[in-house]
Amino acid sequence: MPKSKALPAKAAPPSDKPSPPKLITLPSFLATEGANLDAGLVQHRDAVLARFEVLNGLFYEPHRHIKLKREGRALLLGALFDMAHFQLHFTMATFLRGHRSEAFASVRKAIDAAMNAMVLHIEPTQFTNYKASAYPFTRMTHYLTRPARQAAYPLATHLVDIHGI
Amino acid sequence: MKNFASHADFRSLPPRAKLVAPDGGDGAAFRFFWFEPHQEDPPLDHAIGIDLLVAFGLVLRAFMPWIFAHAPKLAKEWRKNAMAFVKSLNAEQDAIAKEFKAAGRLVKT
Repeated sequence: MPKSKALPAKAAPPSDKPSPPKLITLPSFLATEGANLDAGLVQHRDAVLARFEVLNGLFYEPHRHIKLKREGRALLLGALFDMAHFQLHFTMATFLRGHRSEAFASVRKAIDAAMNAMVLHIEPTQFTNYKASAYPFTRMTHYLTRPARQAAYPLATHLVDIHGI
Repeated sequence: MKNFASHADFRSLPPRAKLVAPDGGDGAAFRFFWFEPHQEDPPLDHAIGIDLLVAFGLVLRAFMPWIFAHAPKLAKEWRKNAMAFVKSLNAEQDAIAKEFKAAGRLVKT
């Protein structure tokens, strides 16, 4: 029986149906993230990352001098400072991987930590409300932007502005 | 606080009332935002990077009263360095904003 020759493949007719999206697996997602991170590290090495390391050192230095208590408000304030420091790293890692919106989301977490810490440091009696998840900790930006509090919290307006970005 | 607009920003998506897929319906353009973020042009990326550092400079300042209350030995030198650094970041942010405005690029303030 003679061998049949394979027919040349015909091009598929154009379709109006949208093509199904490509499945992005976790390894391929992580590969994209890694490639973006490499590119970001090169692109921002001098201007942004050099300044990041200075800021990182400034955040680190107080850790060498502050002895935290094991519980209560003092522990919480230390934890909030640690959290803000961690968010500095996480923000930069996210930014370098190209996720700018998420980088600003991490900034908001650090600002939340800073606003909570400001109130707990200046008004120690608010710790009871913190533990109860009660106002002002449920509406911190509202609390800090009241005209009556601007003298006690001079940085609040700037923090709330950035929080809103 | 200046904010250098980025088209990779969530708020750059169409307004809710006009939310239609920009690519005709297969959603690839939206997936592009989240799964395959692209590099911005270098000046905009640099501006956003400085924006982020300025924000953390302010966060550090917000913690200063607590830091000084608990670490009096840290005191003057650290404070001087920290304030000078934060000031330099702010100055750089202002300079970038001026450059962007001169070039007719969008800067939200």
